[in-house]
Amino acid sequence: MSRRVVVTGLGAVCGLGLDWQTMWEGLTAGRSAIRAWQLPGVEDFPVRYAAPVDDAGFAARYGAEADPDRPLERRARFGLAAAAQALADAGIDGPGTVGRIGTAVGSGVPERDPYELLHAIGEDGQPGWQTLFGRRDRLDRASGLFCTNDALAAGIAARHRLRGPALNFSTACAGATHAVGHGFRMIRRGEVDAMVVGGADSVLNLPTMTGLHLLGAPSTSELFGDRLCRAFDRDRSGLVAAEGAAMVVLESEESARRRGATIYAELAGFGSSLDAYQVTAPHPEGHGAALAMSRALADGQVAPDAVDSINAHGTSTPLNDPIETRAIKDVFAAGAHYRKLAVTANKTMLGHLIAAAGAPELIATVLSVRDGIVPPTLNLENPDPACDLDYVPEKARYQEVSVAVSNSFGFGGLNASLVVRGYEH
Amino acid sequence: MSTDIASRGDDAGLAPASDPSFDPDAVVVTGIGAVLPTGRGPEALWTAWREARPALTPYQDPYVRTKKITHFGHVPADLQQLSRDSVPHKLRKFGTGFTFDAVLAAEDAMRQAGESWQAIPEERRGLYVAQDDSTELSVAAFHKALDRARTDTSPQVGADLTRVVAEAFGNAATFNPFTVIRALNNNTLALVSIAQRFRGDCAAFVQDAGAALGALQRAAFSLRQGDCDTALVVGAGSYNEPLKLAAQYRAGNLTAGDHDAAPLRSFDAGRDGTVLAEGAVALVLERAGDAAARGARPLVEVLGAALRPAVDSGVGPAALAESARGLMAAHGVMPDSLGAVLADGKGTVHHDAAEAELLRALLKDSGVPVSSVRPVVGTLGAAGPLAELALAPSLFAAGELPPIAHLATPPDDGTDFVTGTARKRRIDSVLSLHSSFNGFAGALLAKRPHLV
Repeated sequence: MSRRVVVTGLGAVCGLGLDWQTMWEGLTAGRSAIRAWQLPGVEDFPVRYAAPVDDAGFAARYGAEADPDRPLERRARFGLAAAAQALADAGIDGPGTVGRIGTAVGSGVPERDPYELLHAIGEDGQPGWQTLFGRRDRLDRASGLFCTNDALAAGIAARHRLRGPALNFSTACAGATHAVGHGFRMIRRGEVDAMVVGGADSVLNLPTMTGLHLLGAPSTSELFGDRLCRAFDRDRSGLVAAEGAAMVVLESEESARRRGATIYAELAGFGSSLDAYQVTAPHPEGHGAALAMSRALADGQVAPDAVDSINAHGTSTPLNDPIETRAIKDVFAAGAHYRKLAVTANKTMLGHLIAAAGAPELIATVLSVRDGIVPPTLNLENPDPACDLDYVPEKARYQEVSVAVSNSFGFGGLNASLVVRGYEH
Repeated sequence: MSTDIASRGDDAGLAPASDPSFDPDAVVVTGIGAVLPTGRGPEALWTAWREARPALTPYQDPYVRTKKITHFGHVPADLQQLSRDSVPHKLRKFGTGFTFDAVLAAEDAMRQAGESWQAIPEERRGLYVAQDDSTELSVAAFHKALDRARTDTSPQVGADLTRVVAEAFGNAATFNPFTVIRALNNNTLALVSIAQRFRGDCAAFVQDAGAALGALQRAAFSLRQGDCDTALVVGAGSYNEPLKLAAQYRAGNLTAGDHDAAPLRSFDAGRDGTVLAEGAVALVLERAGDAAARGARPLVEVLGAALRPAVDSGVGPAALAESARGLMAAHGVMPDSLGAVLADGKGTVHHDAAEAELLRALLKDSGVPVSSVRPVVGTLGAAGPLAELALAPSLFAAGELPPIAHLATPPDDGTDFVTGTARKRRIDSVLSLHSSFNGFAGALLAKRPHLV
């Protein structure tokens, strides 16, 4: 069985806002969530800009998820909030609304509390971990001790009584896109009728940010202030870390129409690939990225020249931007169609949500198709000569978008692309 | 929710026309590699199981010193070194011990699948990984942080933790710059893809034993849809990390080690907890028609998998039994026609009681024998279900089901737990059951492959 799959619910929690409507309004207005930021409790940490979630606003709006006494990681709190939002938006308010529903989410590096670990190994001055097992009172219930990588998938299933498959993907910055693609395939095959899919992540903690910093990934430049994430610009200087979550409800067309759900767009294709090149660098000719896009188009039976826009991975890193540009050119080479593509990099406004990144970008792609607006690539003032596509600089553009592609690429050479099409019965 | 792994595709493959019962679209395993506490390869696991010889040893680790973790399923040191040596030198700085095990297991599986397998283009090779949650970030790096803290002149270590940590983390000489890569949960996927040249469809799952079921499902999807022509499924991980060990200890899941020679006593009245373990298993999957066309021998046919979250009290043993029963019915396998059931048998009071109830609900009076390999190899995470699939060819060939090691007092509830000596029996199909510590439970169904 092969069924059409449509998007019927959206949910987002990110630096631009605590719901998908605010996020979309911000993206189309060219507002950035990137701002001066300090790693909590560390004054001289070299990374000075990020796109954090508004904690006070989140607590006020999502009290249950924000409750610090609950043994949940920060990313899981955002993910639960986004999932609840998406299900409500889809009009799925409990078991039985739709037949079989599952969930698939992408996650990244678990949070590890350095305080917990240092308490564990440090207080008796011995080079061992025995205190970890003895000092129950010193361990935070919301710490990594209790929070596993798949807690969000289990939590969404439990909270909403979703009895279908609950899956947790971990493919670095392509995690959420992999999760979406898998859910898409399950619905298309008839395994389930609907899936809550997306991702949640937060790396704005000392261990992970330090690890990323030592890899040279986040920008430490203060030259451009909050106009720091400069994808495809000559002066790009690295990614800007963010946090948050986004979830979408995917549903079979048959199910959505039967219950009269609002259909935002059709998810038409998914493709993934591996670079098999290096752990920390993409293939220099963009082979893997091109293969993922080509596969997604073939999967959706979409000709390259039918595509109007691309939501680029667009990290603002020296390696990604020119290589992604090259891959786009390869895939859309026929008739030099790449010249007609509107390419946008949402990370210039959202920051990089790491494992969750593909999820808000999918929402932006879906809404771009629905509304006929391509959000801008912010801060693109001096295009890199190696990046010579139409990146929709600075201001959103109104144009018809019938078909769009959303790209996500991750550490380790993992690539995933989705194809979104306007819905027509 | 059951997932039909062996659904029929549109492209018919290259089946021998002379055998009408041959299904070219069946998903078969043609290569198996294993790096486990029992040693290298599935034969080592099978032999240890037959001989009721546990590979669980006193726990030891250079960083973790505790008497509360009494035993562990360590991969032997010489095999760990062999695994490390199997990884190209330039990749080693990105990996952890279990990712190295995965690379070696993958190499062994591909070798068994045969040289002709190498003719499959790299873009047509799919890679699907189940990995355990990694806390690599927390171990050596924090130990070094502690060392720095000891040289601190402040009156009490930990008085200014923020400063100590910030200094330790900000110093590249103290902190491995690739730590975040080593901590990534797609680390195994990355290293295997690079080391073994996989460029096709891919996925990586992290959810304890359920991850392997997800990876198997995804591999089968891709084979069926034509997204790849061969699929390597790899499960790898280790519970030997401080936070995981502490969590399991605090949850009361670990044995106190009172039965030193038999620390893990699945289903026994005297059981007191499980023994955690580490290792990797890799399986080469392909369509039966493709395997036949290139002259490869199928070792086991994978029929399907079921994976359910513990949504609420409605998903108890009875519901899971229903799920497993549905999986079997979808493939024409009824409980009384099963050759064997491999139970999870973690050895904790709670998990085994729940599983015994599940087995009773599922098997009733069918007389199907139940065993478990857990007392021999320990509780594996992501590699667990794949290890049991790796045992299936030996079960088919030997025609016997080894007993549950050290099971002296089984539950008296009608389930036929194999004790003492191996049960002689023709075995054409195997159901293995899995529960995770994180609220997922599943089943995997396999059968003797059709040989052409």
